[in-house]
Amino acid sequence: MGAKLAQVVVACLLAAGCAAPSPCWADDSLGSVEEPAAPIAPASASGGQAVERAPQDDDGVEVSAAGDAALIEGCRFAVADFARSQSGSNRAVDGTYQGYNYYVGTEPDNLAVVSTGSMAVVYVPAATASAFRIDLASAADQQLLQRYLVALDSAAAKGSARLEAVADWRFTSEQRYRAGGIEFRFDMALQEGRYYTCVIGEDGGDVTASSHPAHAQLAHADFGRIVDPHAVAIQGEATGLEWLAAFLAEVDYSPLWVTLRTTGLAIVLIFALGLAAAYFTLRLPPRAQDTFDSIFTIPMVLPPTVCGFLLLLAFGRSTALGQWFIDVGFPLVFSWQATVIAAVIVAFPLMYRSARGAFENLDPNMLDAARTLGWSDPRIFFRIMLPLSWSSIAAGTVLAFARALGEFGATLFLAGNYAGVTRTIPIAIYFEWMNGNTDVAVFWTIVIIMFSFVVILFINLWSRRTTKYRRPVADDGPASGRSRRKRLGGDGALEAGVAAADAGEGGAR
Amino acid sequence: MKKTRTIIASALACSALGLLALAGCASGPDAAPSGASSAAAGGQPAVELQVFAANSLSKAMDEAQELYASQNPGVAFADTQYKGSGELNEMLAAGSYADLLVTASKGTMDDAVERGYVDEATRTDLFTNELVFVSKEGSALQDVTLDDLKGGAYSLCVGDDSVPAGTYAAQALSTVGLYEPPAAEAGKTGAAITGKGGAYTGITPILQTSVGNVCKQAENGDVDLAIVYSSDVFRFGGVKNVGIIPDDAHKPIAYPGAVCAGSENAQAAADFMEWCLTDPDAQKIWQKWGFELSE
Repeated sequence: MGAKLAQVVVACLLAAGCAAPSPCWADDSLGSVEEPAAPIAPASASGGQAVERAPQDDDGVEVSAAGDAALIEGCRFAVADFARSQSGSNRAVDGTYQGYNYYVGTEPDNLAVVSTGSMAVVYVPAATASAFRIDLASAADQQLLQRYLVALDSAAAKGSARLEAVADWRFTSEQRYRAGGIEFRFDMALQEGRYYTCVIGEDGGDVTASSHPAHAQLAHADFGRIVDPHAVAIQGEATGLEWLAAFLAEVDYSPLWVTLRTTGLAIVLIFALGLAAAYFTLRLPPRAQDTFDSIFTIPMVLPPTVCGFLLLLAFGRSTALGQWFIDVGFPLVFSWQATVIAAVIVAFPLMYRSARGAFENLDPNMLDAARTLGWSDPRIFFRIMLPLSWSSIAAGTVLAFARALGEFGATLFLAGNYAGVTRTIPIAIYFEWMNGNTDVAVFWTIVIIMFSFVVILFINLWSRRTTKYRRPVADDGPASGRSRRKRLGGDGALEAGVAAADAGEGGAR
Repeated sequence: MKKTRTIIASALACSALGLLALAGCASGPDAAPSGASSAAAGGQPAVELQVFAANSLSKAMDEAQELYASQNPGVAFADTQYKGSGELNEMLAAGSYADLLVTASKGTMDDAVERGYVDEATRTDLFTNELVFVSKEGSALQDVTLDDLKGGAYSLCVGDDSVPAGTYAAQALSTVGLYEPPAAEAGKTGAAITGKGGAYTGITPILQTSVGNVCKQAENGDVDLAIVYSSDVFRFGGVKNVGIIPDDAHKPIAYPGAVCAGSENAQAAADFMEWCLTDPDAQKIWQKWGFELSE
């Protein structure tokens, strides 16, 4: 249910965010973003139109978006279930050496092509050849097969060696085909119901070993099935909104929840701790004040990686403290709590400094006056200090929030990158990009920009509402509100302070 | 002054509450996945395996885990960590939990054995791979050899000392005099050196912290060439294989796997490793992504 809710929320956000520049974004992401799920020959880079794809460079072969089927218009057969194997295995099958082998599947009669880089051996099962009247000796049929295979192979190659570059093509329907001291064995049932394609020396040796006389560098192999053209439906690539819908349905939304949880909890902690620290240091003798101030501020000055590294040293297995946490079953490193700890440590100074600056600027006479009237310290704090310094505190909260939301270095150090546990949006952006999912990285970038914007706007609006008293009152002349407050002293200040406290109460509580 | 203390105390109480909430939530994320998998197992005790795997395995291992979990409803997988093998060891050093460790070189697994992170008896070589030069897709380069790098005509990106692909690259580059091994290995080249602790000479490669990042640099066109595994070409797309590095120029590339010493699911982890190595359906996944099973 959570996931569905997420989709709706994110879809709404996206819709809102894209309202203005909507056409560009949808098109951009199609054109510029790689889509690993649908490897299509580079010629289709212009994107969008399914109809325009493939034919251009693969002379009339239509390849499906998933790259598993191809069709030539008017041809009496088509290819389906296509799969490319980048490598095989030189491991013995059930204890017997069978040569360099590729596992094909549980069905016999597979179309197969094995490439050695210079030579490609195409195997069409005899039954299939007769069923589709394919004459392997005829140049026309050979060319058809070659067109199919080259098109499908190029679509699946992604920069690896391609069949396209192979000059020497051999066609056979024999299960064992020999060439240059190498025996190619197709459709071998090496295990019950398991079909393999094997490449072995004519002497039964390992041709991939450079010591073998018929040494061959096996490039790759392709497998598929020859089927009736009517059985193949070429699925074009989804475009525009369809693509967006499919994309949004597939995205893992856990980084959003992790980020919300982390930032939400962190900002509560930072708010409380920052105010407490600011209040506490102000009451210390000056020298102690400077010392504590430095300690509280230093995480802001240090690079986040240093904070992360120190935290890792402190809480990791190598220290008594870290070991103790692990022993009590509450390991701090690489856990969900670690993201919060990292965010709190790194963002805390921003809150602390803002709050302290605001408290320092308060008129001490006003606080003293309140004391002479018998107000308790908590009452003074909540009803005078907080309301009067509210805008600074709100600004500090915004800054701390932004810092906690964007925390990356210390989090990565201390919490790592566990999807659904510690992978926050900033970490997701980096790792998705690194893993080749640029479109997902773009998505999270947009989400975090919009999310930050909305939250900061909200805090600003709220803080404006709770500092209404600062605006000049209608019958009080435009400039006097602000300037009078500054000049206030003694009783007048208390009066203003109390009035302010009343106005700001909603916000303070 | 007492009042001040009251205020501080109340603020501290607030944060303590927050911390409690933190502790309370802690069981949340851990409980969720195992709950889901036990439901799938129909009430049977479920096992959640935490795998630490070499960065290059990312997509293939995900696919294998998905298949394994569907064939074995009692097993689920936590989010697998795909990092440079050296970094995985550091994570284990810092106290993170794993059931199964798969690194991309014998050296990094030796480290793990030496430092007691894995159970040596379970150590098995799982895959082999191949070292290649790649460049940005559409680049005009082809048939690049190690010798072509002499003279610094091409910018290069390789992995750093913690990345096995980087140490293999250093070994290969030492055979053409572009990498100077540390004093302890002076005079040796290629497979005879560790590829760590030395210095590149006559060339200044960009160093990256995982083979995935190395490949990205080539894909972005930041460098002319990068040295990665042949499986990376297929893993990312966007790069082109422009030359194979002879396998006698570096130590044999092997991906050893071993069950971690602190694993609570040692048997399940060993079973999964055995499946990776012997099951034909698993083989199909490895061959698709370009990992050759180890003999």
